[in-house]
Amino acid sequence: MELPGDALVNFIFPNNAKVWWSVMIVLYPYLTGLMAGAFVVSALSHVFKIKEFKPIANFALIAAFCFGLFAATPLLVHLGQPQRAYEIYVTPHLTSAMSIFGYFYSGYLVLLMIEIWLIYRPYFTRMANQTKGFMGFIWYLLTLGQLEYNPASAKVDQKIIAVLAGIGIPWASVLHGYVGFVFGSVKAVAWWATALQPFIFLSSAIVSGMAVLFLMYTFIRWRQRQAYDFAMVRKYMAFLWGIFILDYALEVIELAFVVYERGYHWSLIEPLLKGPLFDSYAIMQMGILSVTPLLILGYVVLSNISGRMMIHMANFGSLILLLQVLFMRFNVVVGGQLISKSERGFVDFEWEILAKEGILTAIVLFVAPFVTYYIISRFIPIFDDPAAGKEGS
Amino acid sequence: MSGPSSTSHLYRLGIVLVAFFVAAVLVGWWAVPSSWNFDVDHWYRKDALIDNAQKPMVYGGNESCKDCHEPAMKKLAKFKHRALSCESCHGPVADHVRGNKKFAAAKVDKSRWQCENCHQEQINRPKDFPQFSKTGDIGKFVKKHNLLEKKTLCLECHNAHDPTN
Repeated sequence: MELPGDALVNFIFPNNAKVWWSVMIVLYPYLTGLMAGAFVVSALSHVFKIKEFKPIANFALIAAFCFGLFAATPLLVHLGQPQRAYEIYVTPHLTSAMSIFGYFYSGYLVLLMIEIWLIYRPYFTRMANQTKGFMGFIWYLLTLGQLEYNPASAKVDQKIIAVLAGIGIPWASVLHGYVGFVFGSVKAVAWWATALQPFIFLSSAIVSGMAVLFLMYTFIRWRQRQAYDFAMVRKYMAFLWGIFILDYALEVIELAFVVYERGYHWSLIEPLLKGPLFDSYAIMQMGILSVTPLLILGYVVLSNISGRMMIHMANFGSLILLLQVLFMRFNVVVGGQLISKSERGFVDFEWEILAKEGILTAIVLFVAPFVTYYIISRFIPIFDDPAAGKEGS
Repeated sequence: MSGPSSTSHLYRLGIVLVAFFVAAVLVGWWAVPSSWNFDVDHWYRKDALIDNAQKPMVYGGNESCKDCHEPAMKKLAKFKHRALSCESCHGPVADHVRGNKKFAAAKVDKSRWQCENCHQEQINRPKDFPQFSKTGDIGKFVKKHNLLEKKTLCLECHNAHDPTN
């Protein structure tokens, strides 16, 4: 009898043969995390008034926006049907966690856009008044036709920016905690089902977002041959180190719980961690990639190191942290699915390179936010004050 | 003339947001299929039932064999394999009958694969259910099977409809 392709017949154990949520679903929480993490940096300045972060607050906001633009694209590639992708936003209902996500995500993106718009409004107004032709029209559209910027409106804008940043913090937390919720609430997958999952995702999101933002910062400063803000770097590393300690502690606590309870879940997770996930989880995520940045960033924060050496160590620590979170996303998303649904044996995970959900697609989607950032930075000032050079009206 | 008020740009922003919201509501209304069943416990597109009902039949079930094979079906009722679907071995009725007329012979797959579908040893099957290991000891359940070659077809000795006789 002819059977289509690799069809499975009757009862076969393990009764699932393929990891369906693959690289794209690894990339999705990763990009969302970068967005949430970068936003936190801008909020630390706007809301918590950490003055060292003021010069990079706008930079962090624009970077968060760029990551946000592409955070949902891995899901789109995974699901296919791009012509229906907008439907999740226009057909609301509260019965599905995935649907609710559409509102958190799009609402957050709108909040980011309004905040960026208010911050850059003086610049838009100035450009609209100075530029003619097609670009002038674009700047005019960006001002929404309001070509005057006066001190009274600047005051109102500052207040709204602070309020939006204030709302943005819980919103970003809920958005990313929610990503953890989607995994943590799948009670059939032993490796995911823990109420700690949202907190682990959230704290690792902030870690990865801060780490990628720092790498971008040093790269841009190096390319533009501008001085590094060492006071900022030291403060930044202190925050990154502290949040990573929290993140790592949560990851260890989660594991410790499952190990100590010796419950049914541990009977499934133990062979997973000692078998297929041993290298990427025990050795890399919990071992090398966590201990190294803990020591390096600890040294940067606690010692008197300064200058070039501090930038090198901070960069190296950030890069390792970025990898740590990537490994964590992989170990959670793919690792959880390696336990066969029949709970008898493991499923094989195969790396794909050129496939629709392969590594090449993942690289393109990961690079896209950086390209977008580059394009945006050609048009608006990122590190300079948008209101500077303002002409009285 | 005095300048614009300090909040006029915000009203414009508000208009843009309201416009987007209205557009989203309208597009949402347009995107939901007209036959949608809005009962939250039973969400489906009602036309989907009609669409599925109109798909060409492939498997007809044992009832579809009765019209032509009544005597054989009666005999089958006493056999061990009486509860199985005819089409799982004889192939779908759509490959055999079209418009109440036979147009091709039903093809029977006589390979061991067909038997092993149900009788290959698996951990989830009841202990007393006859099962045969594909690679190892094929005679685990009935000792004399050990004398056979592994390639031997089951149907060389067994009647597919009543294998215990």
